[in-house]
Amino acid sequence: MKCLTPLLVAAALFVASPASAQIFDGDGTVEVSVAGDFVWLSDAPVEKIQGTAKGAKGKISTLATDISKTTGTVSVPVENMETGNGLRDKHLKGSDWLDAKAHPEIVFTITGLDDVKTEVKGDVKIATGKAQGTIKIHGKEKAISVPITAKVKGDKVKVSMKFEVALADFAIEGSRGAVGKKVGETISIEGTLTGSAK
Amino acid sequence: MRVAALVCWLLGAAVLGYWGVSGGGIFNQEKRLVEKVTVDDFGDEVKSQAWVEDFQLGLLDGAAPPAALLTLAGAVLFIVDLRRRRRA
Repeated sequence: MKCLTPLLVAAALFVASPASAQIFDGDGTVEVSVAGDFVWLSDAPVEKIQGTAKGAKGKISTLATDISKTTGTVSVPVENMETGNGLRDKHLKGSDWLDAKAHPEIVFTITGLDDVKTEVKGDVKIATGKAQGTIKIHGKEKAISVPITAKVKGDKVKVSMKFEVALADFAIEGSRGAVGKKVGETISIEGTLTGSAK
Repeated sequence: MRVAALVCWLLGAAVLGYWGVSGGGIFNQEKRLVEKVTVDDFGDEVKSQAWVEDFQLGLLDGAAPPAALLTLAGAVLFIVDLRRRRRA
């Protein structure tokens, strides 16, 4: 039993010590695999359409000492988008709209963070800022600045964001006369990605 | 025939009433987005959304065509009845 005691103590310490804290407290690169879901809203005069885009995945890389150096990509499969109406979903993924066959993913590429502010609340580190980068929808890429809130607790990371995209910026014309009447000219998007740091 | 016309109109009104009660949307909705609020590892309240099967009658592709047909049928029946009565 005596010889087992140091082993048990070591095991207990290993379990108790959050490896994660060291990940974000160090000075190296931190890699985070994230996944999550988005909800979106089209608010047009004829109707409001609420939709989901589930199954977003991505990899984010940052420096523990300087999170403004965050880079990464997050992609969402167009095929996973839903509005609660099968026919509308089919149209949404069709060639008049997002054209899922030709452009199967919406990709957000992050090139850095601006206006970063950090604070610590208990054991949660919170960073707010604007993720700079590009978003590629319908095969068209556009520079974008997305306000984000990132939270880190141990090795767990959560990134929340809310932003808008204009359909015209991505050459999404839709069926004749639909944009601006049945479908909003801009779409509000909100989502949360979670993951673990390595 | 007047009774039949009245029944048609009432049915048309009932269809529109059902449309209003089931959300009053422009198009049919086969699923409804349900929000579930949970507390995550960060102590934050998190809303997660899931689609559940719940048909809601829309106006353009649901309630309007039968309501219009019933109203029209009621009108035709009413006019035919009116003409018959005048002839008599």
